[in-house]
Amino acid sequence: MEENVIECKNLTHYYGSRLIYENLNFSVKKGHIMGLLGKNGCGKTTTINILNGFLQPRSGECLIYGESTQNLSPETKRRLGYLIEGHIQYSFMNIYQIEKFYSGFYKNWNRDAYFELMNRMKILPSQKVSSMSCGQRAQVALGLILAQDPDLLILDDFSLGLDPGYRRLFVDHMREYAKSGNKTVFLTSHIIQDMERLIDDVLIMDYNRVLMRGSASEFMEKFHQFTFDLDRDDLDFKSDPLIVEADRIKNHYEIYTYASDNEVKAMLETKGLAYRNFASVKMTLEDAFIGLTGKY
Amino acid sequence: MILHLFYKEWLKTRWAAFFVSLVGLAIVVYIFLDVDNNVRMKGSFNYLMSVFYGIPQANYYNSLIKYVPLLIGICIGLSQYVPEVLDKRIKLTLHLPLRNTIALYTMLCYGFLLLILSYGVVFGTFFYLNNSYFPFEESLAVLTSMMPWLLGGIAAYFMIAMIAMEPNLFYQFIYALVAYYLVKQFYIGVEHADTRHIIPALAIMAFVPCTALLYTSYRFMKGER
Repeated sequence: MEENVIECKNLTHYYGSRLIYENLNFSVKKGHIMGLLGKNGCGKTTTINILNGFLQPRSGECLIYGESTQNLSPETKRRLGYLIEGHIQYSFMNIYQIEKFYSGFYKNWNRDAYFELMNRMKILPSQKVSSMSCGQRAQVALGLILAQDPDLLILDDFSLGLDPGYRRLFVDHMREYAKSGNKTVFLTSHIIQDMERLIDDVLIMDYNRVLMRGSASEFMEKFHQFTFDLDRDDLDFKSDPLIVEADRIKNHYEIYTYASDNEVKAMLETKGLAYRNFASVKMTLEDAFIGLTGKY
Repeated sequence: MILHLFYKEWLKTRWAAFFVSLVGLAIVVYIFLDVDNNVRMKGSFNYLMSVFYGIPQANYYNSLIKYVPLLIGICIGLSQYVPEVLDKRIKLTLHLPLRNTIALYTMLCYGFLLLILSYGVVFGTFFYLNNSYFPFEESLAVLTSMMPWLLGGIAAYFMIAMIAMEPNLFYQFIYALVAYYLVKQFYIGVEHADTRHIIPALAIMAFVPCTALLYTSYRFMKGER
């Protein structure tokens, strides 16, 4: 049986009287890359903060390598790499200084991995973090993580502020690093198309609840988008138990469902609706996410 | 690891500590240029008498130098903690493979040592110059009189550390008010006073805020807003 690196049990959290989530349960297995997806304000960064011990949940607990995240030992912290939202690093340091600083904390520090990436990005050792673009800062943060060689990486919105080139570079490096070293990754991002290239498992959250948890590829196989036209333009399929989410432009309908095309067609026929141009649409993860959570 | 943490703190604070010490030294030099002039004009004994009898213009040590320890405490505190508070960079430090309390108190210990070093440079020079114009006993008495101000700088530094770790803005404001009134007690001025009897009490007042860091950092780790 695969070891759970992260295990969160019955997490409940409020900000004041506002419920973020209740009894959230999830785990991340060793060697897996899990993406946490959700709309703004649904609790992604809250979860990351709980995992890093920067937030005490109202109830429930998270364990990392079997230790409560509220009281991680230095040994466990050493196995944990953390990327703060916006690639925050010590802006008063330069490339050389930041490497020198971190190298004292990690036994397996690999300075070559860090400087190799810096050289490839043409970032000079004397360059200050504060004078860097967001993309360059992201590479510094990535380089530091690669040099640290952690067993578990927690990345909070890693794609924030990055252009497509930097995003792709980050994702490719991260995937190669995680897969070749059997590393575990837990990450969030606003840009879901990046996740598609990276994640094995997905946890999709909406306000106060979990919409989906499991293998990303299985989810993409089971979740479908169908489009069709009807004579009527006043129907709302959202209340149908078969339909997860539905949208309509005039008499053109778009539905998201775990049901097969035959089941959807049967449902329409049962309702006495004559459909035309029935089609199954191939979805990206982003389409599926929108399909599951709605556009707004 | 502790040395690496000191290295980070040094990178943040070195210029602030350098410039504030330079300002302190400039004030010391200015004071002793004036003292030198007075000693030449009036003679060392007569000038000292005018200091003892409390002629305001003659009281060379109860001048701008009074606020130098406070300036040093504030500058070192701000240069050390503002970069940590901006964008919550303190999370990076708390994520290091150290116990959080050890990491925070190592930072505090560094700041305190730097403060003492800056005091040493500025007030060591003051003491040395004072000793070259006046008897050792007078130099010692002056330094004792200055002790509340030196402790005031330490209190200000610890209060800044405590306020910086507080996650709630309103609480920060309340702590800042408390800090203002606490630090003010160290600068209630009289021309001449034997401060020896109040130094232990002031020392306790100066060092108590460093324990409050435990409370504000606990609130930060709990994720209080």
